[in-house]
Amino acid sequence: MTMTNNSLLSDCRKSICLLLLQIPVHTLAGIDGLSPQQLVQQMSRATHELNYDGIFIYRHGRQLNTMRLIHQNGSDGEVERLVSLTGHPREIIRNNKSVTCIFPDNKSVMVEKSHPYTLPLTQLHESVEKLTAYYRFSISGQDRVAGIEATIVTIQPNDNYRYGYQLWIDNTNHLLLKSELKNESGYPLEQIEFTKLDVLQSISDEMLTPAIASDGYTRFDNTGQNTVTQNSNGYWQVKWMPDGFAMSKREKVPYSANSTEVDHMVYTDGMAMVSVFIEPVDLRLQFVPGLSRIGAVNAFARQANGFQVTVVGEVPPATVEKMAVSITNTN
Amino acid sequence: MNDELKQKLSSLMDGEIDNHADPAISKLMTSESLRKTWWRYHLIADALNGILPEYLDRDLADKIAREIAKEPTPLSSHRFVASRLLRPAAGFAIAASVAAIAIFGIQQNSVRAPESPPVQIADTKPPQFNANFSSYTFPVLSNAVSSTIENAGDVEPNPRMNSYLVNYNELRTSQTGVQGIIPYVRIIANDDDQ
Repeated sequence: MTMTNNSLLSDCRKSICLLLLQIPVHTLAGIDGLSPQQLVQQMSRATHELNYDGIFIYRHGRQLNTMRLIHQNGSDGEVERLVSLTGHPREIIRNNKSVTCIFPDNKSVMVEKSHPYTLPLTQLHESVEKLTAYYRFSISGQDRVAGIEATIVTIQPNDNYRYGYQLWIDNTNHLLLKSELKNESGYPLEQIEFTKLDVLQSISDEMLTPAIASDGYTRFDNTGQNTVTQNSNGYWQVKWMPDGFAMSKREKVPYSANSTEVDHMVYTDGMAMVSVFIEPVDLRLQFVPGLSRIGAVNAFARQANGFQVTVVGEVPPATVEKMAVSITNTN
Repeated sequence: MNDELKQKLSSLMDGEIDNHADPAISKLMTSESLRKTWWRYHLIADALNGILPEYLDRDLADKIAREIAKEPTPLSSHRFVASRLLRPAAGFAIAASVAAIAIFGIQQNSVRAPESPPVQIADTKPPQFNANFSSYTFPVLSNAVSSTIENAGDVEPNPRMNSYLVNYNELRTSQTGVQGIIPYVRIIANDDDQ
């Protein structure tokens, strides 16, 4: 090979390298040629559409729990049963009408209204595509979870107001096999990982029946009808929220403990979601101002003009606090 | 170990305490049971992260802490306060780094005391927070997930927060196209120390 040829080859190699470097990470395709965004869409779709029964580990900080998740997509819509297999055998049953939480450790049952998943697939596609303005999607490789081959999708936020995710998505059925929710330093705040996951043709009703006989338990039922006039809590406005967030729902939530209703406003960027709850201050009920958290869900509560404002979200503490202090009553 | 310390330990592990002078860190260094709990938590996390070292020495942190304790103590009382705070942290860092653990994952999202600050609108820069940690676990219906509250005194469980949390999870399921963590796991999770 002559020097000229060598030089030409070297130039070609450089050009190829430069070209490869210019390919955005998020365009790298996963299994079956799907982009990370398409894999995430497939995962969201499979989560709602398939029948499955799995056991997974959930970790947050010092907590390590094993749980069983059974999901049925039947003629009456989705029914889901989540059972804690370690510690107290708590259960949650969710159908298209209600969410029932059973706590045998303090003999109580809490029932809330459910909101069936109704996002059409076309909107799901748009919803995920919109996320690319606020998150960077990439495929980080292949792995094996619960004996199932998976593609790892990494989703990194462009700012510090939302968390990042790493998702292990089943290459065949596109179900979520493992997930890590990460803070801005990349530290996993929460993890779930399936150790067993079976996709089934059908799920019997027996599998969705609570194992706990809750007769005699104290019942907190918040599924009642509205009894308070609309806008009784005034008109509230969240004046600051991270870029890309928009209100997706506004509702009145009945609260049985003091027969009042709570204004509930929902803001989302398509991935992260923040709820704003507003209700009149009730001195009979305990109120703790400031920040609080459960798992990676943070909340910030404050009082303003005789109302209690609580912002709850799977976002960093700074986001819920900043949103909470920006809320004003425009009446 | 009381709930407050356990909560601090959890927060420290999550990188939510960026104040190295936090009394929780000093207690961590002086309490054998706390050090063992910390070791256990990290072992669980590392196992899940798939970064377990080939050999686990449960006494390694204690051995290193003992060696560091043999170091001469500065005479000045002023200097003593500083070194008392710094030395354990340094020893701790050495012990943990052997096991490939990032100890002080200092975050930008440390939280501040719950005073109502002035409203800021359209500030696009992430806010800077001081290091006063003020966090508590939601007093969820279950006793197992309740009652670790700082800066709040003795507070009874608040079922209103439970209602908020269930409503949040429910809409998290229906309003967003993507879910990274299965909704409701946080509600039924048990504390493994209980």
